[in-house]
Amino acid sequence: MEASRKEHGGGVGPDRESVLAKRPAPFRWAWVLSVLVHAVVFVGLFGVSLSSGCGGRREPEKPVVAKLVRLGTPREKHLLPRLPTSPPTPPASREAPQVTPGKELSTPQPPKPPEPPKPQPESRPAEKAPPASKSPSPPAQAAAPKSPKSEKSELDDIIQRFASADRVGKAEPLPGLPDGDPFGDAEEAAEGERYLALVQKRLRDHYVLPSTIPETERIRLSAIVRIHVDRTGRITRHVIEQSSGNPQFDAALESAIAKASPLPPPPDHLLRQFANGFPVRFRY
Amino acid sequence: MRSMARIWVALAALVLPALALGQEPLIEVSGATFRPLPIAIAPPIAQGDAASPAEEIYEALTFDLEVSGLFEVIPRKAFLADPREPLGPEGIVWSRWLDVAAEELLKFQVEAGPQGLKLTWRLYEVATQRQTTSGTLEGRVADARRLAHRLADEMVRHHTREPGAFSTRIAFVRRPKGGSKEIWVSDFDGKNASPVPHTRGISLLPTWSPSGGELAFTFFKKSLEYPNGHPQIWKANLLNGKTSPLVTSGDLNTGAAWSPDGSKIAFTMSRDGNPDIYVINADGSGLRRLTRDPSTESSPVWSPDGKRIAFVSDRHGTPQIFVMDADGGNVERLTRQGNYNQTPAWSPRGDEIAFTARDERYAFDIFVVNVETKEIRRLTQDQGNNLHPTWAPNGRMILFVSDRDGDRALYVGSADGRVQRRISPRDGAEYTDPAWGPFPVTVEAKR
Repeated sequence: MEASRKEHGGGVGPDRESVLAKRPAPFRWAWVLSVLVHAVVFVGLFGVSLSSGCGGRREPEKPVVAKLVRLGTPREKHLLPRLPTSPPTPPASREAPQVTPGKELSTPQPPKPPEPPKPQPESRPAEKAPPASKSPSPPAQAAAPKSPKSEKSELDDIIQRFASADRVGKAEPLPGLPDGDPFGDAEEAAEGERYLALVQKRLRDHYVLPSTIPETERIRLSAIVRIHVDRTGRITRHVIEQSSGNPQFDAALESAIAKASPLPPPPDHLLRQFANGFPVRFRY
Repeated sequence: MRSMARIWVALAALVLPALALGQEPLIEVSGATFRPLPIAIAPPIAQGDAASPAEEIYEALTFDLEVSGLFEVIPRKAFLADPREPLGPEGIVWSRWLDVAAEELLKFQVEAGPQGLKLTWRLYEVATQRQTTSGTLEGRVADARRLAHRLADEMVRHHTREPGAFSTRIAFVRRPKGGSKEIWVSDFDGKNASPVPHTRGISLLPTWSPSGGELAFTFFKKSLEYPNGHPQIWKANLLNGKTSPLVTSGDLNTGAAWSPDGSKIAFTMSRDGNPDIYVINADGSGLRRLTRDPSTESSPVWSPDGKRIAFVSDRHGTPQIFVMDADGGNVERLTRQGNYNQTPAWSPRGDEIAFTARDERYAFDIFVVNVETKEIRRLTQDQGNNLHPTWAPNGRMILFVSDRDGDRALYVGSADGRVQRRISPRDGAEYTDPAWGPFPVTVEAKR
């Protein structure tokens, strides 16, 4: 130690033992490096904020969009997906499955009631055979086709549906936030600003595109719209900051925004921040 | 110098976090719902003796546009159309069409003459009162429905710049009550159906040649040795009505699939009780074995580029969908959800495979798995059992078997599962094993 101190005092150059002696040179590099790294981060962040159209307006906080989800428990990984079903209000669940054969369809997006799943455990052994050769147990709703609809059959139908709704309820609990995303589950939920998540959901509920947009174009579609809201949540105006280039898509966004108004009223702590509106990016 | 650097760093340390925090939140909205385009079809204007074919065209056109998943045809009952309203644009009362929320208006006129039918049509955008496209089609009186299909094809092409698949044919197995299974072909909507000659007995699983001129199918050939029939692969020529055997060796041959270039046929052959995937040239030469697993391999289908084959295997305990190279290499498991997945059908775009799966409630339903991401989406649910999907050659519709109405019948629907309609008649017969045919040669040539 002593020796090294002495050497330091002499200020001799290529000596690696004395920490003090080396200090000036490496520190300069560290400084330069530090400044460079910060500068890069700074430019990067600044660039990102500019490119997303919000460079000009700065506020002291950055709220994070929360992810609200509908289901309390995720569906088990090995199971096949199910289409979203609305949690049963039993009367409604009796209505919808009355699909007139040959008429309108079957698997609509909107609330689909849990329907008798016709699980018939006793038919299980038979499933070894391919379905083409297996005679599947006739589905429950097939039992009540359009034949003369006697009260009895209707009653049976109701009883059956209640019974199955019960089974459904046990197999697949559907609790959770009523305003949550029916496709999400507890695993995907993310903490953040609840209000933004509500705005996101409300916009998505009205985010409807024409089916006629060709699939090849869909993946490229993206636009940013700045939305201004007043204290009550009403959308006072909106500006397309970055157009998608597809008039059909842009028109659909305008319509979605018009239909989504009023949004939920913004909470007080966000009012000031939203004075200049907030940007929303729509993607396919 | 050093003090300058220090100041810079201090500044950066102070300003950077503030800037980072100061970014606005960007709300991302994705996952749009796709809405079919609301279109009104005005009651047809019939000239001469064309009233009945005009109605037939109207009915077929409505069915086609709805089942495409692209359009929502506003029900005729919803509007009070003036039958004297001309083809336009002069004389069209636009407010009437705006009132029923029609975004587009399709008007057509049918003339019956000695040459047959002449269908003149015009498409308008209601909001702008602008004619966007128009055309004329001609055909025999007996082909009124086919004129409607051609018009529907034009509509799909106009909106999506992709070909429509309404002028295609389908093959399926029909078994009348108490009768035997026979291969039939019909238009995509189940109309104009006729049996394929010499296929009565037990004929199953028809598959189209890429040209649409031939079918390959499984035929249970009866003989002294096989009184109940020996499953063999046969071919049926739809042009001359002749059938001929293709593969007769092995204990069991079934599930043929024609390669996209038409040169080869993949199928399942069992020898010593072990079914595996084989491939043979379409002329019956060059038999090759592709899988060599002691488990059961079946239901081969080709990718549209002919480079890969999807098939079903229970090598991991339950039937699952696998893909492999067309020479049998690079076997990869595709499905990991569900424990009974089968009847794969490769989409014409090549990105997806539709299949039948049994869910945890023991219901069979149609699912689609993305070949790259392996993500599975569901098309049918809570509507009886749904099996055996087959894609329209433009990939926008799916045909499948369902027993939702009590009998086994064919249903056609949009590829997103939103619209599903029955096409089989209610004649007590059982309809199974659908196979959607290729584009007619003329349409193919136009693509």
